[in-house]
Amino acid sequence: MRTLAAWIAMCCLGGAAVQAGDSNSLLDISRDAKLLACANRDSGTVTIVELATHAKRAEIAVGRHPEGVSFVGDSHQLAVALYDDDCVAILDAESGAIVRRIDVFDEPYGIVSSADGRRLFVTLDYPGQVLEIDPAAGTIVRTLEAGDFARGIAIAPDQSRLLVTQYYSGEVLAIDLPGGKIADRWPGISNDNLARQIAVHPKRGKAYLPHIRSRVTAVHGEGSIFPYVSVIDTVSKDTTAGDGQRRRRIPMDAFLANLVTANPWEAAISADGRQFYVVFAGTDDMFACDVIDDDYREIGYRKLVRLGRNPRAVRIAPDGQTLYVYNALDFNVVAYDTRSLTPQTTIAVTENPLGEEKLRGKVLFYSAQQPMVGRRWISCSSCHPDGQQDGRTWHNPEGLRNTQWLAGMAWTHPIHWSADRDEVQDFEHTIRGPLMQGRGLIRGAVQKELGTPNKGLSADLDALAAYSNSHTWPLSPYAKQGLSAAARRGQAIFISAETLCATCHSGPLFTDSSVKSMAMHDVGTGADDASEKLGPKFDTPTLLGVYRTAPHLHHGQAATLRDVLTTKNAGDRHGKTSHLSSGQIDDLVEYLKALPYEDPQPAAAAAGLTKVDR
Amino acid sequence: MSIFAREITDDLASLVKQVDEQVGKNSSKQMKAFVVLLAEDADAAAPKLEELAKKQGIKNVPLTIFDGASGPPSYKIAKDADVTVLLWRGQTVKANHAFGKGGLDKKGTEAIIADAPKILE
Repeated sequence: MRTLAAWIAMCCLGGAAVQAGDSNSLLDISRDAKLLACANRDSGTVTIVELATHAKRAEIAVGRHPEGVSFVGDSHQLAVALYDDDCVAILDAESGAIVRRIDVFDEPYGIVSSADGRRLFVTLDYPGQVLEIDPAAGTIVRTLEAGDFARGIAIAPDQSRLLVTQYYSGEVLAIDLPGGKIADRWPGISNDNLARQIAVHPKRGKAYLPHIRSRVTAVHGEGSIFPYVSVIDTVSKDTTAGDGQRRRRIPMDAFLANLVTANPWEAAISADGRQFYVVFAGTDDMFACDVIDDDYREIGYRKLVRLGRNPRAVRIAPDGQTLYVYNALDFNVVAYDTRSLTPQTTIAVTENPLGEEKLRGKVLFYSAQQPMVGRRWISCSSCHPDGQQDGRTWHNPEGLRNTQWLAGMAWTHPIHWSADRDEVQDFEHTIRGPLMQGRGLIRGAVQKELGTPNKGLSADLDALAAYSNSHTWPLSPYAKQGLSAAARRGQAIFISAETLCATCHSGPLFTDSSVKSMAMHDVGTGADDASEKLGPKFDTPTLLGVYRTAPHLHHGQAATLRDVLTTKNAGDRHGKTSHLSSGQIDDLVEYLKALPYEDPQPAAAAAGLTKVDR
Repeated sequence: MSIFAREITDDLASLVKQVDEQVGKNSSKQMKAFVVLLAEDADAAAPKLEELAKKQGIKNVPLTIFDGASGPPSYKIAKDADVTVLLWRGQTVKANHAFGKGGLDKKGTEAIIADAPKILE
């Protein structure tokens, strides 16, 4: 039970209402409640909405993949985290002008503002940092270490610290702002995953993070992915407290009898601390809840609300009367009355930038409903969110399989570590199989994998392929100024006849495998896993983007690139590396981290390599 | 009979063993029971349940885990109850017992077993 002293402290320090920009989101509402801002990830724009009339005032082109937007203090200036442009843009919401851009190392994701607007705090998903930015000067004031793959960020009501979520572990870190150090931790359990957002309660000393469970050992995926909201107690310091005392998981699949919801994306808490909402981007719905001040159940079910397609953000107006939901694949924001939870207005915030086919494919990719999924608990995006990996090695029926990033997949068919698919359309078998149990997209007979193409049998399946093949590689942040001296030395080692790295990891895509000529190699890893059914040969994976895809190898048993080249290369079966000095290994790793240092697609096209568009 | 527990103790093991025997004896009278361990980390808790089943020779009572220490909301498991036992017949709760931390003992177990006839067909 929380002590009286702690409550008094919270009332003194944390009595402020939830305010603009205090937790990361694709939506934000200005402190004066006059404007709403919406970051449109696919369009690369930010839309400004007048809340009095719900009219769209402006849509401002900002750059690639805005993943977070925040009003700056009580102003009408906005800060936007541009994930694939590696910068933070400062906008004037009144004029629509971009005031300045602040370059960052890589992958800015969540962004929040201090209450006085003098500081911004932005997470860098990779490499796991928080930047403190002076928005007026456009300078990075401090770089704070924030674990691995930092995404969610919230600023405490008393402005004394930040709460940051680790995307692939669900761990929450508290960063003390005066000192800039990690002051507290709330670890998740081993299967907590994809924690991309966190919301703070204005009074209770609690923070709430939506996430999923990735239970990699579940047979055929039975029960492997489930939705959760975890609640952390930011006041208690008693790390020896019992199960669920400092951090409590609330399973969302058991919240309303056994109705399963999928892919919780964002949560929001009203300024008075009484209302809680969480949106589910896989089942297109939302739980409206009451906050329960009992340090036990934490939230109580009020209503299930059906939403539009792929809801990714929710925000509540400061007066608590209206909430706003961003349906990312309907390209709209819908306003709801918080008492009746009925829709009041639909605001079109942007146009479909994807084209009809890719939009249809993306809707299917994110859907945890029929015809894709039978039991509502998983979608393609549960393991490949926005085409990225989920950071897990799954105990699949064929053996251990490290989830692969879909970046560049159009160029790197065949698919999977064992090259058991030569077209995305072959995933009709996965959709209909025990993992997803969907009705499927093909009417009639389905062709076998690697056999007669399934392409052309279903417009929906072809659309799914078109979307899945649309993910491209970002350039490595380690080569923004070109290859470093160490990377150049590593490049020479990589292409040398002595190491033979470039024999298999060859050409502009760093692989010798293609749909026309599948290349499987035994690199000595096939015997590591007793459950392996398809090895010991594996498809040569591209090395492009390998800097952000640890763990490595098909079974995920190499924690670092150095491990791949040393401890996991016994007998020099994965290239000859045993003779290299420690410094040479370092150089080789620097080179690998720099991939891609230029867009590989023109060179791939010039080399006559096949790009699979759908 | 539904048994919700937050911790595996010797007293809980004894209760489960005795309930298992009761279910075995009364299978013709449609007696059934299950145990739900309420745990924040279901994966870590699973081996403990397996050990309990093996050590006590449990044959008739499924041992399960609920992923979350506060339990299924609809059951409204009390915050301070380490062990909650509900005895059902049809849709009606015929008896219930709740024990705080360390509260389940031999006497409590006897009281639960004594209530078992209330749910026999």
